[in-house]
Formats: sequence, C-alpha cells, structure tokens
Amino acid sequence: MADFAYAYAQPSALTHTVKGNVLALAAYAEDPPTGGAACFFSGGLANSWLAARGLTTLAKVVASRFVPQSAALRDPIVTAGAGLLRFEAFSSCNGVYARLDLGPEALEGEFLASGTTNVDFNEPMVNALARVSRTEPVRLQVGEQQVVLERAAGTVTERKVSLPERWIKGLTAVQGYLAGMEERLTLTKVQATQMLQSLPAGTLRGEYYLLLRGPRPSFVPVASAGAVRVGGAHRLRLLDGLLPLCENLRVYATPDGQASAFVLVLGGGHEFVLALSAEANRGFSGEGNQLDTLLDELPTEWITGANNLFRGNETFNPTLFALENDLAPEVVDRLCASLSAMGLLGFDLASNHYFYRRLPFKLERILKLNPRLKNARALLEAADDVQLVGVGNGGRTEVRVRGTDVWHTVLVGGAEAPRCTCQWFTGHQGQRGPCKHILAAQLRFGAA
Amino acid sequence: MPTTVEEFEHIIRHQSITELLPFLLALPKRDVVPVRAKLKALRKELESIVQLSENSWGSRSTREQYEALFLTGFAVYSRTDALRSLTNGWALAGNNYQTIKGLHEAWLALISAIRPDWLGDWLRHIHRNGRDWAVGYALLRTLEEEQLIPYVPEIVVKAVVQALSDWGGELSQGVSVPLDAAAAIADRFRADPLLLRRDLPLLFEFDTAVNAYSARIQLVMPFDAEGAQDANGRQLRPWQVWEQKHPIQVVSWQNVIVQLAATNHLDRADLLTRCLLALRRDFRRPLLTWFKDLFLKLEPTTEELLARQNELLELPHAMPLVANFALTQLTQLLQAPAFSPTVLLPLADSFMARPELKTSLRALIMGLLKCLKQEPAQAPTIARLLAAALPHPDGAVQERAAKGLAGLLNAAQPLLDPTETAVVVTAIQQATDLLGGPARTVLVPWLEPAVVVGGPGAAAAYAPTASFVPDISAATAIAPVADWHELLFLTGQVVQHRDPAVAERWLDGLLRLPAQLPADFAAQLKPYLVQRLPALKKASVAESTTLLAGPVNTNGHEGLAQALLLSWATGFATARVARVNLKGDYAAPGPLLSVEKQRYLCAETLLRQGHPLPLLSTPTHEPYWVAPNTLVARLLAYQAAGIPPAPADLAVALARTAHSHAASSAEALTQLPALVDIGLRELLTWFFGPADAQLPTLPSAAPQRPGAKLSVELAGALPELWAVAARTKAPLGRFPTLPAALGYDYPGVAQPLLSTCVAVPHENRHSGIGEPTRVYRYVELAWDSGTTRPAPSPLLLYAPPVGRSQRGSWEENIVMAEDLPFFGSLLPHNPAPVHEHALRNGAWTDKLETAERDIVQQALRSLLPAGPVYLGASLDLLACGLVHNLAECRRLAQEVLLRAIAAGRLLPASLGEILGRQLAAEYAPVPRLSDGLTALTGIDPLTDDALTQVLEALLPELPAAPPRSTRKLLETYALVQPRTARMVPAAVRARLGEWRAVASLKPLVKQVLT
Repeated sequence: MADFAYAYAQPSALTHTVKGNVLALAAYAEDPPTGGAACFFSGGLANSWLAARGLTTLAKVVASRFVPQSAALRDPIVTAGAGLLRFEAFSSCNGVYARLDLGPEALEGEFLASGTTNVDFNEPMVNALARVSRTEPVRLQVGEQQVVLERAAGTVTERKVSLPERWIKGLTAVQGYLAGMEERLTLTKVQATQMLQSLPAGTLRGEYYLLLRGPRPSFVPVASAGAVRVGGAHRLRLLDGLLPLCENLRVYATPDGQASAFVLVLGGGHEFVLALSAEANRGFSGEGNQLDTLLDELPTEWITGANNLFRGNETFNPTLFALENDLAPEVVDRLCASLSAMGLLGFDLASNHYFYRRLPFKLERILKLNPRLKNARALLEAADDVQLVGVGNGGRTEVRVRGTDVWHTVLVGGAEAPRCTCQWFTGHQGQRGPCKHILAAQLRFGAA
Repeated sequence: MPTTVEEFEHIIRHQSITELLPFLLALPKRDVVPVRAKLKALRKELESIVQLSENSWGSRSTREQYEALFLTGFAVYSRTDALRSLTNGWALAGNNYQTIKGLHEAWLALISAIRPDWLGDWLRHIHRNGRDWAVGYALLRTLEEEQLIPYVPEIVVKAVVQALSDWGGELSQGVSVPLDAAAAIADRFRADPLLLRRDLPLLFEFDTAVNAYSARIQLVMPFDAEGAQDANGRQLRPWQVWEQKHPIQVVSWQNVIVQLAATNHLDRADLLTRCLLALRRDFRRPLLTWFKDLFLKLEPTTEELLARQNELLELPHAMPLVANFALTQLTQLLQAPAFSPTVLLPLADSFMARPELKTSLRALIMGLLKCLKQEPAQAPTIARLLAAALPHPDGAVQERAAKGLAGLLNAAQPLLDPTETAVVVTAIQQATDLLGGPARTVLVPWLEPAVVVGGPGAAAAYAPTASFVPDISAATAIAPVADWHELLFLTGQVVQHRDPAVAERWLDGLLRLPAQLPADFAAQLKPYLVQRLPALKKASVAESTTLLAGPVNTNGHEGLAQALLLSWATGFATARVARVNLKGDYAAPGPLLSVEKQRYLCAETLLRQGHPLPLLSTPTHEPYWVAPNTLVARLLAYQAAGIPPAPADLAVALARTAHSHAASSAEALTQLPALVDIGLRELLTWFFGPADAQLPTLPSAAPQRPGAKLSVELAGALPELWAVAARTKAPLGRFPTLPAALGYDYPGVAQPLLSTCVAVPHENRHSGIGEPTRVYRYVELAWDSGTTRPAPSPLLLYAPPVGRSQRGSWEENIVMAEDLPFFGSLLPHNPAPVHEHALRNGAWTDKLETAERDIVQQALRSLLPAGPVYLGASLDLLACGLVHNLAECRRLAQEVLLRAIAAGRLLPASLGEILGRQLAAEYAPVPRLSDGLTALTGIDPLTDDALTQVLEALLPELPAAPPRSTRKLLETYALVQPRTARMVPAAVRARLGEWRAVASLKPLVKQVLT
C-alpha cells in the first residue's frame, strides 16, 4: 500500500453564482499531461438533473463496500476527449466498477484539453448534487482555469490517502473483462425497474443468474440456457435510484461468467455502466485475466508510438490502426490488451471499442502491479527453480517449478489449457488467470 | 544529573501530568526524537495486554500513566506516528469531560503552545474511525477559536450530534435537574448563535447518528440509596425507588428542533425544505426515517406542502421509505385546488410501476380518482398516470388502476378525446402480459383477443410422467481419465471434497491407470499430500517415508479420499481406508457412510492386489447412472479375474443402474448367460426385465437370519441385494415375499417406504420481573419411519433414518452439508432416504441457522438433475424449501419446482397436501409461500396448471379458521386458476364456502366461486 496525495487547488463544489449554478470539479493528476492542462471541460449540462443523478450514483458506488473492510473513498477519474466525459470509479472493495459517460448530446460546452485526471468528490459536493432539481441549469467545469494563480496563493487542498495498488490494478483489469463481454439481454424500462424485485433480500452468498421468464426478469440460483451469471447480485441495488430513470438496460457478460456489466441507457447522451466481479468477495484487482497478454513484453517503441498516436487522436479504432500500420489483428489485440493492462486504454461496451485513457498515475506505479508476474520472473532468476521434464504430444511441455517447500508439476503449451498442482490453480482452475508457476514455465518455455 | 529521557521516564513511572506538562512545554527540539523513542518503548511496556494474575489479563499502566503517555504523544509524535499511534482520542470526548477534566486542560495548554500542524488531520482520522464518540463540541470550538484547527464541517457535525447527550449528562450532574429539561437544552442552543446558524444545520448535510442520540436527564442516584416496599407489599430495588422519585427525562433531537422552530430561533420553512432535501440523499434507513419524522412533527400546512411540491416531486424515485412518504404527501395535495396532477406526469414512469410501493400507490390512485370527480378536465392526465401503474406487480394496485381506467373509458360522457383514448388503449395492450387476473378481467374489452388467457385453447393440463428413462447416450457418457497427468490434477480437486462426479472419475482413473504412473509419482503428489500432512513440507525423503507410513487421523467422508491418497503415495504399501474414523468429531453420521467406506476399501484392496478392475458402481453416464450392459461387462471381468464382487459395491451399482433403459438392458440380458453365479444372474435377469415383472420366488432364509454385514461374501448378501434391486426398480412396489428371503422385515422392504412427518406445535413461557408472561410458540416436524431399531443390514440402502429425530450437532451439520451430494449420488433413482436424513437435521423447525440452511440448500440442489418423480421425503424437502425462512432457499426451491413441472417430476396433489398441513400447523407464515408461487405464475400454461393443482390440494388442508394472510394465497389462486381450463374442485368450494364469513376473504371467495 502506498501513500498517495491528491493535491487539489480547491475542493470540488456546486456553487450558486449570478450566472447560474456551477459544478466545479477540482482535478489532480500525479502524472499530468505534457503542457499541464488544468481545465479539461467547461460548459453547460443539457440535463443537469440526470447528470447529477448519475454522479450521485457514482458517489454511492465509491462509498460502498461489500467485504468487511473500512470504506476509504478514492476519488473517481474523469477522461475528457472525443466529445465525451467519462467518469470512472470503484467501490472500496474493488468488486464494483462504475462509469458515467456524458456524450456530446449531454454536454453543451468546450473541451479545453483532452486527458484523464482524478476529480475531487467530497461530501458537501455530493450533497449539493442531490439537491439539483429538474429545471435547474448547471454549468460543469472539470479542472480550474485559473489554477496557476490560485496555487500561487497557496490554497492547495491536499488530501493524503492510502491508495492501495489494487485500486489502480482494478482499473486496468476491468477493461480486459469489458473487452471480452458479449451482450446477453436487453431489458425495457419496466423490466429494468422490475429486475431488482426478483432479488432475494439481503446479501446473496451463492451464484445467481439473470434471465427473462416470460416478460419478467428473474434472478434464479441455478444456471440455465440463456441466463446471465451475476456474481454478488445484491450489489446491483446500487442502481436502485437510477433504474427507474433509464430508457433501457443492456446486460453484458463474459463467456465464462467471470464478470457482468449493466449498461443503463439514460437518454440524452447519458449512459451508466456498472460492472460486477465474479463474486462479492473478489475484487477486479485480484483477477489475473491480463497476465497472459503481459507475458511477452512489447517493444517500448510500440508502446510509446501507440501512446503518442492515441493521445493525439483521442480515439482508438483497432481495425483502422491495424490497417494503417500493417499489423496483424492478433498483434493489435495483444497490443490493446497490453496497453489496457498498463492503464492506457479503457473499453466502451456500447461502441465495442477501446478508447484512449491514460490513468492519472505514474506509469511505474502501474507497472509495479501484477505480483504474480513479478513472482514468476523472480522464479526465473534462480538457476534451477524452473526445470524442463519433457515435451509431449502436440508440444505439451511438462515442467517442474519450485514452490514453497514442494515442487509443482506444471503443464504448458499444446492445445489444452495450462495446469499446475499448486493450491491457487486447484482452487480456481484457471478462472482467475494463471498462477506464478504456470507463468514462470510459460516465460521460460513459451506459452504456445 | 539525569538526562531528559531519564527525567521523562521518571515522570511517567512515578509522577503525573502535573509534572509532565511543564516538562513537555520546556522540551528542547533536540530531545524530541529520543523522548519519542522512549515513549514508544514505555507504551509497549505499559499498555500491552499481559497476564496480570491467574485469571486476569490487562495492561500494567495506571490511569495517571495512561494520561501522561497520551499527552506526550502530542508533544513528540510526527504526523505519521500520530495518525498511526494516537488512537485513544476518546479521552477528548465531551462525555468524558468531567471524568478527566485535568487531562483536557493540560492537553489544551500543550496544544496551544506546540500547535502541531497535523492536529486537524488527526481529528479527521479519528472521527472517521471512531464510530461511537466525538471530540466534545465545546473543546472543538475552543480549538477553532484558537486557530489550532480549521473549520471542518465533517468533524463539527459529529460533535454537534453528540452534544445533546453530553449536555444531558451535565444537567444530570447538578444538585437538581430542571423540570423541563428540553426547554433548558433548547435555551443552551438559543444562547449560541454560531451553533444555531452555522453548525446545527450541518445535521441535514451529513450521514450522522442524530437519530440515535438523545439526552437522558436524571439526578444521579447516591450510593446509599435504599429500596422500599410498594403499596402491594412488593420489594422495590433502590433504582426503582429512585426512578419513581426522579423520573428520567428523555429529550430527543426532534424535541429540541421543534422547540427551537416554535420560538423562531430556527427557520421553520428552512427546516421543512432541509428535511426534504436530506431525504434525497442515500443515507441510512434509520436516518431517513428520522428526517421524515421530523418533517411530520413540524406539521406542515397544505400551503407549506404546496410551496415545496418541487422538492416532494424529487422523492418518488428515492428508496421505498422515502418514496412512500412523498406519495402520501402528494396524495394529500391532490385535494388542494392549487395543485395540478399534471406535474406528476413526467415522473409517472419512475414510480407508478415501482414494485416496492404498494399501499401509497393504492392511496394515490384513489386520490386521483377523487380528483377526477372534482376536475373532469384532468381526465387525460389521470388516465396516463393510471396506465403507468398497470405493469405494477401488485394485484391490488393493478386492479385499482384498471378499474379507474375502465371507468374513464366507459364514461357515459366521453372524458377522453379519440387520440387520448388510443394512447391509453395502447398502454393497456402493452401491459397485457403483466396483468393479473382481476385487472385482466376488468380490462378485457380493451385487450387484444389473441392474448386473453383463460380460453380453453390456451390452457394446458399438467400430469406427472409415468416412467423415467435415464439418458444413456454418447452425449452423457463420462469420459474416463485419459492419462497420468489428468489423474494428477484431478487429485487436487478430489482433496477439496466438493464434487462426487470428480471423486468417481478419480477412483476409476486410479484403478485403471496404475501402469501409466511415472516413477516419481509420489513426489508429484506431494503438493496435495502436504495439505493433509504439512509436516511433509520440510521432511527429507526418509522422514517423508516414515510420516506416510505412520498414523494419520482421517475422519468422515472427506477422510476416505484422503486415506486413499495417502495410501497411494506409499504405493499402497500402507493400507489406510479401513482406519478412517466415521464417528469422530469431524464426521457427520450418514446412513450411507459405511457403504461408501466399503467401496473405497474395495478400491484400495484392488489396488493393493494389483487388479486393474473398475468398481462396479463407477458411473458411466452423467450424472451418476451405470449402463446395464456395462455393469454386466464389469461383472464378467471380475468373474474372469476370479475376484468376487463386493456386496457394498454391487448394491450401489444396482441403485445407480439405468434398468429402465430398454436398449442397454436388452444388451445386458444377452450378456447375462455368461455369468456363472446363478443367484446374481437370476437377480439381474429380473432387474433388467419388464418393469411390471413379478418378483420370482426366492429361497427362504434360515429363521433368525441376521442382516448381512458389509464384509460378507456375495452369496450371503444376495437377499439384501434383492431388496436394493426391488426398491430401485419399483420405489412404490410391494414385495411381500422379500421378508421371507431376508429372514426379517424392515420399513422399505416389503412395503414402500412411507415415513410420516407431523407438525407438532410447542410453546415456551417466559416472564421477567414485573413483566407479563410471554408465550413463544414454534412448530417442530416430528418424523416417524415406523421403527426405532436400526436397519438389520447396512446394505439396505433405502432404509430410513430411525427415531423421532436425529438432530446433529452444529459441527456435524456443517460436515453433513458437504457430504450430502456424495450420499445423494449413490441413490439417483430414489434419494428420499437421504432427503429425509437432511430434513431431520436441517429443517426440524423453522428459522434454523446457517449450517442447517446449507443442508437444505444442498439437498434441494440434488433435486435438480433429471430423474424420476419426486417421492416421499423428496416432496417434503421441496415443501420445506418453498416455505423456508431464508429467501435464497425459497428461490432455489421455486427453481426446483419449475424444473420438476417442466420434466413431469412433480406430484402436485401430494405437494399441495404437505404444504397445506405445514401452513395449517403454522410451521411457516403463509406469505412465504404465496409470494413465491405468485412470482411463478404466468410463465407458461403448463406451469399455471400445475400450480393450480398444488393450490387445489393445499387449500382444503387449511382449517376453517384460516391462518393469517390466507388472503394472499387465495389471491394467487384467483390469479392462476382462470388461466387454466380447470374447474374449481368441490373440496376447494367447500373450504371457500366456510371462509366466506371471513371479511378479508369474502371478495376473493366471491371472485373465485363466480
């Protein structure tokens, strides 16, 4: 856990001025973009009431936790660019990811710069957001226009927080899940309202599956054809204030049921995404879904080039990128996964595309994540901790990898999934990514 | 001359804060670090919890030392140290002021002199982490006035909340207490304008515990107060006498705020608005209730409500508590001439169909209809609002909206123009699928004819399937373990003891692949072995051999696979399965546990002898079926190897065999002549023969023949194997000749197993001193299997659990929940005895705990895979699941019910009777069942018909004086019955006729019977 200080020039606030209400979101990035753009967006909100509802729901997600641990508020991040504002946040436990997208229809203003930043979410501001009425116009300002002057006056609002690595890691891991999701159900407004009614009361321990039974959405505790697995489904109650406001609800899930996402189309360019991890006690940060893609380190010039290109364009279309740079689709897929694991790309379910979003933290902080990969590399440092036993049919390679006082048998390569005798693999059967022993074997003898 | 550190230590050990304060104030900067180190050492020494005497644990520090250590921290700690170590901030709480006044004063003097720049952060930190206390409000104000901390509303509000009880405590400390304590406290607020104007309004901004705080004012009772006798001669304790003389005055925050508003010290209009704004927040439910109650206590007038209609209109999409409140207020406004229901229209979709809002919506609809009478011009608006309520899942809301719409559309003088009418009719038709029976009946003229359910063509008749044939095909065939590596990785899953199918494949792999094991297989097993024997981790090869050959405790079902694994690791040189303890602390007694042990023992024996033969009972097809032809082929393989089949293994094999699969049975019959054992051949010939084949004449047993033991030879166990085969083939069959062949009779042998379950009401009476007697009523399920003696032979797999009850301990029940899937897998044709065992332990009464709930859930899951019609205890299990107190169990049972209906496995009349008896005995409240069944209606005609049949068997079982909430059950019946082609049966008519006299049921009875 590393201490991280949000240093805002002033707290975010919803203020009443003679020109009307202004929601000024204070911004801070540990790794600010070149040029130090301080103000990302300034302008009106087409439907301030709806945007405020979305932001208060985001605040509710930030304040929530579904495992016994203290709630520590981590400020959301906002990405400005390509005509959109995307607010992203996590629950304290890292198991719920939420994003509010304000599209061009929802915004009536000017993008002064593109980029990603932390924004201060404090209780008085959330309080004020809850008070925004339907007819009240609100101007939104992300970042400060006179930031230099104010900082010179010494009014920096510094808030030190213990920012666990898992919080940043969750932000990267969830993009991998979103990219692998498929649309499974579409619910009408009425069905969306009824969805939570079929949830049993209280905290749900087991697995639940969402399906349409006749016209009614139902949560059932048994898998069946067409049903979407929703882990820790009680977490969906975070949406209870927003569901009655949506025009429709689209449900997405990964093919292996390890994550699900609920996209509320709120109309007028407002969209709210809530993604849930496989279980309430599993944060996205603990998943190793991107470890495979990080095994092969990409050439630095590729990453730098892609980063510069995407930053300039603000958008990212993998197909076009592949065509323009004469790259094979699988290479681009790998590049996308790597960039997303490094916090450089987010994923938009609606357009089924990655979007450029450089996390507002130092890159080395992000690269320090993935302890399993780090431990696997540590195993390779010793001369005989990873030993080849033999190569079988179809390139199936048997390896012995040193564990804690035991040697593990590891099988990698070939058509079948890798396997290991360690407790992590036995418990999860690869659903939470490979263990360090498999990673070490793959690094030494190749994954394929 | 002592050093500074030595002087500090001396003060801490022998003096007090009186000497410490000047020391700290004069502490040179260069000595701060050494004193800090000493402070840490002293705190570790004095504040650590240690054993003080034989039965006493605590810290060694005195109160003076504690105060001194606390104070020193503020003088020498860095920011990091302070946030990490200064956790005893409660010393500064307002309610501790009198107790440690000296510490407060010293602390303030120190802080004023040192002015640590981290004080504000520290206060914020301890306020976030400390739930039940806050720094005293007065102290906080002093710190702010001295500019020691900035104004932080988040901290101030917590102190304000607590100030009320602090002041109550202060008032109680005097020689007398004011007669009107609320007024005295309100005066204190009035005297502090900053508190009134700046800090008190913060209560409406933050999530605080204001709802839980109050001031309790009562003169402190002296130590020598005496008791007395009351007028009835009853001895009263001293505190009772004191309470009579000096009654406690309880002053809540609401009392104070209302008083301040009454005297215009708080702006009433502002308070009303703030309450409504606070209700928009995602606060805790009790806090929202507090704001709601405060609003109501202020008794807003209609004008005040009208002035805040915009704020009220923001609330119906909030949580149900708030939405219901807002709708009630808006319903009141409907009668105000200045209020137009048009303002509700843009929000209608947000709340008119919200499932959690029922009563308030019904009231709102009634209000709208009244409004319509007064203002017919509002008809288009009201029609749209009513149409928006049609998708609501509550039947009464739907019905009222439907009746309102029908009245509007049928009005003699049209209230809607054609365009409006078309909009409303379209809305009605869009909601068709969601309409319940009563609403549907009312709106029939506007529904599209094709979707009107209830016509004979739309209905379907449910009937249970007559016979069940397991799927024995390539699609369900279980692939054997392919190679050593698969066996190795399967071992990890077997050790986890979760899936019987994995365990069966592993056993089969072990028996088939000994020739494929690599030389170092034992070393490769080590990661799994260390989970059971952690000592192996650091052991050398020689030590490992000794450890593996030595004694290891293995218990219960889980221990069977562990024992076999340990045995395998020694190359089966050390036999272990026989030593598995089935009756230890961590083993749940199960009826089939000894049979399972015998199977594992068979496997170990085969492996030790080096025979590559599979167990006869290894499933060939999912989930646990054995193909008949494979069983015979395996028996022939045993015959060829000269090894007699083990009776326990064969008994389980018979219970798993898909005897009704015609093709496979026919093939098995063609192979049977090769079987030398005549007795077994005769048994299998009958078993694979026609379903209605009579039991052949069996040789009579010797008089007083004891039941076969598990270790007996095949010939000695043949009568018991006949009993297993017979009950597998015909669970409800009668076999009067079997007792003669066995030499004894037992429940489930000659006659089908029919354990009975009776709901027995109990009550406990409890009366406290001076309290009326309270009666606690509960119902227990008492099981009777017709015998109290255990089964003569463990090979009688279908023998019922015995005795009235076999409630296991908490630990046993935890283990049992894990073992149940394994036991259920042994009897796929008729798992009723396993389910009875589960029910006796997991559902002997309502509202049991988590271990019991897990048993019920596991047992319910065993009902999901394809199988024959549920019989006996399996139906009882389903019934218990449907009325279980835990919603998750009910949801699982509902899913089982739906799948049973789809697969024709349900006997609706039997289930209805069981449920009826349980509800009649008040084993569980009616709404648990009715709510669940209502959610299952309208899925498809077959389900509706089956549910109707269940209810038609259930209703006559209820008594003439219906249990509470029977109306809900009747509503479900009224909803689902018209969707079927069934007539209301005579028994139901008779019962409903009796209920006609009950006011709450009368309209429903009328609706059903007409």
